[in-house]
Amino acid sequence: MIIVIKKISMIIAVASPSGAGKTHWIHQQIAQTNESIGYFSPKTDFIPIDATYLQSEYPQLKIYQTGEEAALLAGSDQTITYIEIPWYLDLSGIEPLLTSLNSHRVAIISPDANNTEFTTWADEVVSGNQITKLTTSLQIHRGVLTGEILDFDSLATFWLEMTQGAYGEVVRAKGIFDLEDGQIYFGDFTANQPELEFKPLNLPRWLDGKPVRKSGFEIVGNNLKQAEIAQTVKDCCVPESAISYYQQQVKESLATEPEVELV
Amino acid sequence: MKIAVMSCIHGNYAALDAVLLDIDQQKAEKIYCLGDLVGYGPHPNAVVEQIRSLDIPTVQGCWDEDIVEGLNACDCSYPSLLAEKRGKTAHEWTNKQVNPEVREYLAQLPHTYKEDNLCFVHGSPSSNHEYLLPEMDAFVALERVLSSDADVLFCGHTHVPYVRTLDSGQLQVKVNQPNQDEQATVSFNTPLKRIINVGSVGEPRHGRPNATYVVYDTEIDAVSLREVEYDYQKTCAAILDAGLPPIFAWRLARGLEFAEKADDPTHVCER
Repeated sequence: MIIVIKKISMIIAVASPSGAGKTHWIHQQIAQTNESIGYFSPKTDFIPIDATYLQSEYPQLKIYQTGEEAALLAGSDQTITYIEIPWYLDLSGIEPLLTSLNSHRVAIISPDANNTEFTTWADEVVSGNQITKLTTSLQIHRGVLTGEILDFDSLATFWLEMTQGAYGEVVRAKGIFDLEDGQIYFGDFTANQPELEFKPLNLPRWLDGKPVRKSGFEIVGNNLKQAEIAQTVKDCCVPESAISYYQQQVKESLATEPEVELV
Repeated sequence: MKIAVMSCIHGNYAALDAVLLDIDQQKAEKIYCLGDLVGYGPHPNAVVEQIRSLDIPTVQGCWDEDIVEGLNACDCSYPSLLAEKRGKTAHEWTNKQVNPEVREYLAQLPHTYKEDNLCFVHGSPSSNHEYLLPEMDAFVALERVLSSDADVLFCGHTHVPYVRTLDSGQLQVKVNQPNQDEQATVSFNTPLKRIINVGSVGEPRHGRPNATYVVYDTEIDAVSLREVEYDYQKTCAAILDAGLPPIFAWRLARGLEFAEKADDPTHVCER
């Protein structure tokens, strides 16, 4: 008789208020294991900022899209699959899926905030970033970029202005942007946390016309001046007529770069 | 004699008014202006009319030149696409606002003004687009002062005030002549020279909204960098009322300047 032992996969659902550190915590967990890992963040496919970031850090990570819940229910091939629940999703709305998956629930909470909803919901509570604003009073503004390439210095100016309050009070901002050097950059800001600089993600350079991959940003705060934000981001974009010129320059530069050999 | 030197007013009348009051309190006997009377700010005509009415010796700044000749700088003027977009918006607005007399006045301003051992320029003696930054190479800095044939070179354009003393200048020049084996060598020492950047009245970039200018005592060669508080919210409100981009007001209130800062400070505009 042959006994087939199917590896039991674990589903870990992670929830928190905006900016408490869900993606950061998941990143830490993945770093500590050699197991195969899956990741799913419902309702974020239009700008998969966190998924893109994690994928660049862990190329073997299996990303599930919205609509692939059935694959999770059937039992994924990954040993552990993290479900990152965006703060703006109603926990009761996703409850049927979590129940059917028999998931372990982790809440990342701010030490001083009112976290009753999350602590009641969770099997495990983890202390996260300090958050000063109640999630319920916040606006969210998303910008979906469709192949636009941004100028780095312009983006840096916009990001500084935006995070310092030029376009409304911002408590959280993150984005992925295609820049003129062909790389995709990740920006991450949480109020009262040390600001992270833009960093290029470990993904292939795009140097053949307008990028056909998802990019954009998500800004959370109060009194956001959405039209001004949209116009400023537009003003940061390289004109389509100049894209080919920039990309040719980068290609030539890369072709002449000496290879560095580590001894 | 105490003199006051100011620069880069950029259509900010409230800041100019406060600086003129402070100059009066400092008992400066004469005032000089290093240009950029217009651009970004909401009161270009009022600023020029005030400078004219006080008969202040003034040199032409890059923004004054652009209003007269049109935007024709090379790519050096803007550090980013966003800065370029904003600069052009400000230029177009200012260009529509300035009246013919103001334009005529800006057109006749000289690039340099010299009095005794003092020289007044906007950017550098070479170009009103060139940035004389405090950290620039000492040889280049010395060359710029020597080319002005002055002991003290007053400049603006960077919007950050500083004083740089160039002492013990020893120059050695070797000349290779055709058909001659020996090099002709000339050595000479230069007397002490100074570059004094007077900052900006109307568009500071030192992280505070306050206006800056300089008081210089010609008798004892003493420099005093002045920082003057003023009602910058009044200018911010005027920026919004004028329909200029709100981000100009936001940046002014934080002493962040608006845009212009070259990537390569030693680059001279090829216009």
